Amino acid sequence: MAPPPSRISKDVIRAARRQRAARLYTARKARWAHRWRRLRRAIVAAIVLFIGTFTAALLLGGLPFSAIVLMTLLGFVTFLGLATFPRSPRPWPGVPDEAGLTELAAATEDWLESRRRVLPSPAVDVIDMIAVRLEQITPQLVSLDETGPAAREVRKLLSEHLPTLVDSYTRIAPSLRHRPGPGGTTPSQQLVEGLSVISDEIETMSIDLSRHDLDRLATRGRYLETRYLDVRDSN
Amino acid sequence: MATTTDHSTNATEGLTLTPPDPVPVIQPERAAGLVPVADDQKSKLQQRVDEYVEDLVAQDAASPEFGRRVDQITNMGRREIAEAAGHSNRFLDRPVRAMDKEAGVGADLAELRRTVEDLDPSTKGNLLAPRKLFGVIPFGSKLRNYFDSYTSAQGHISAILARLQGGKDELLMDNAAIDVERQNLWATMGKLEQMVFMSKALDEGLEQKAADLDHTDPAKAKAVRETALFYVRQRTQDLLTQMAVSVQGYLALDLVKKNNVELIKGVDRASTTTVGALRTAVTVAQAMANQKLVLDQITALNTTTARIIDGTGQMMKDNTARIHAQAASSTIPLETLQRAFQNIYDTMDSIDTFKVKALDSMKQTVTTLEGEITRSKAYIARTQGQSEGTGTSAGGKSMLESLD
Repeated sequence: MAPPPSRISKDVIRAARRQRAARLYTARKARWAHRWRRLRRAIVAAIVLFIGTFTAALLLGGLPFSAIVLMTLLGFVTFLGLATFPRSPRPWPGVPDEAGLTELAAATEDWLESRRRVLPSPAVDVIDMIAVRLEQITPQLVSLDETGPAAREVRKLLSEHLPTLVDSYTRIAPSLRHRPGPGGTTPSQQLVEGLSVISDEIETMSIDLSRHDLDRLATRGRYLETRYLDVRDSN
Repeated sequence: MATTTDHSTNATEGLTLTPPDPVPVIQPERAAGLVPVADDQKSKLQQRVDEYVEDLVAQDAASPEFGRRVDQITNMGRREIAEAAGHSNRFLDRPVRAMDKEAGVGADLAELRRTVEDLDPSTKGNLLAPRKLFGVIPFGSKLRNYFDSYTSAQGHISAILARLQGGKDELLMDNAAIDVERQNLWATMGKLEQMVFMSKALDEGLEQKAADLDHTDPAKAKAVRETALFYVRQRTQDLLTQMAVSVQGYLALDLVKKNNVELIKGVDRASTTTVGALRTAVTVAQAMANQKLVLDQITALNTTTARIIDGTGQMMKDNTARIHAQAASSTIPLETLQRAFQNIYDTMDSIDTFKVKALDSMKQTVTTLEGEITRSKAYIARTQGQSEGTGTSAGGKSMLESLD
């Protein structure tokens, strides 16, 4: 039971891939910038320490050997410590259950990114599809009431159902992932099916969320028509 | 909205506002068939049903696969029903809101009536009698004072008329929302109709298949009858119940819309007759007291709301000519003024009677609708319980879905 082709649009996926490449590029750049900053700080600290020791030696007219060894060790420790800490922010956070509603979609996207490598290739297509739909739903979530039923549903889907599905797949030993179960489908196929359902559901939620606005626009248009056009026609 | 302007072209003809009849109770058995299902859609749906029946019968009756196929029946139309139910929850507050709006417009009309009554020449006694200080000494003219009262009242009247226009716009907006809602509802009912067609076709198909299997595989025939057919019939009932509610809601929305249209007519007519009376007053003041009555605010209002007042303008021109012709005789213009006031009262009376009747039929409609919705809610609750129990058949597109 491969996913029906209608659920995955090649064009959309291609666009999604481009988006993802751009996102990964900026993320990589940010990571390197962080690393350089750290290294620079470590070098500056080491130099300051060296100059300090040197000045002290000049003023006191020489230092004992033990002090020089101590300072050298201290220099090494400082350099290594500053070069390693603070760690670069982890690009992939944990399960996105603590994120606010507005960051939920972005957090889910990041989380999916972190799981990308362990998923089978047909699932990656679906994940790209989910990413596109998450981008679509993000601005809609901003104006959503955090405690409303719609928000609850979105949160449940993104921070509960989706991670649980993926986690229960990744917990299966890799050698068993392609072995058909009693139902005749392999775990990989089941994962793809499940992800497709989630992808469709995000789309449905997005449509539901915009329904109110669509109706409002249509109402406004109809009102203008009755208020101005029909009156003019009948005169 | 042709009707709103048509009637105002001649303000002298009687205004009749007809409240629409309440929406009758729609029996579920008779609910289907309002939205036609196209023939090609029918054949496609029939094909889906045939495929499904073949597929179902091909499975072993005791296998989980058979169970999965049967689950598709219990989930059949779940989305459509949920969507339609979402709509029907929204009609209930619409009639109530419309009635509230009516109260807003009604309050303005009542205020207009009070203000206009103060100006009515028939309540002022004999305006032509000379005014006398202490009943003896002649002092000014009663008529002149009377027409002066228009100048002070005009600001108030124009404010009320502007509010009435605002109220009318709100009613128009409501009607636009109803149009959109009805459009959505029509689409939803189309899908429900497809599902009803499908479930009936399934019923027939399964029944026939079971009869065929009676000889070859009685165990499977029993399974088909007891699970699949049983659920199909239950589902048909659910779909028809929701359909009945939707149809009733659809008709109820139409009722609200018609009420609004009538009310808009009433508001227009009340504004027109009021402005008409004021204009008559201007002419009469000119003719009788040779008094130049300047009602700037009314004139300003007149141009801003030119569209509805246009008809009145025509009428007033005719009247002005007539009044001027009769100016020689002193009492006739005053009678014209009185008639103009009577016109306003008639309009307001007919609005009042309309509102009483309309409210009545609206109440009846809401009551029946409420009953139906409560009934359908019970169904929906059951359906939801079922679908949560069986779990939506993850993945694999169900074969029993409506066409888009």
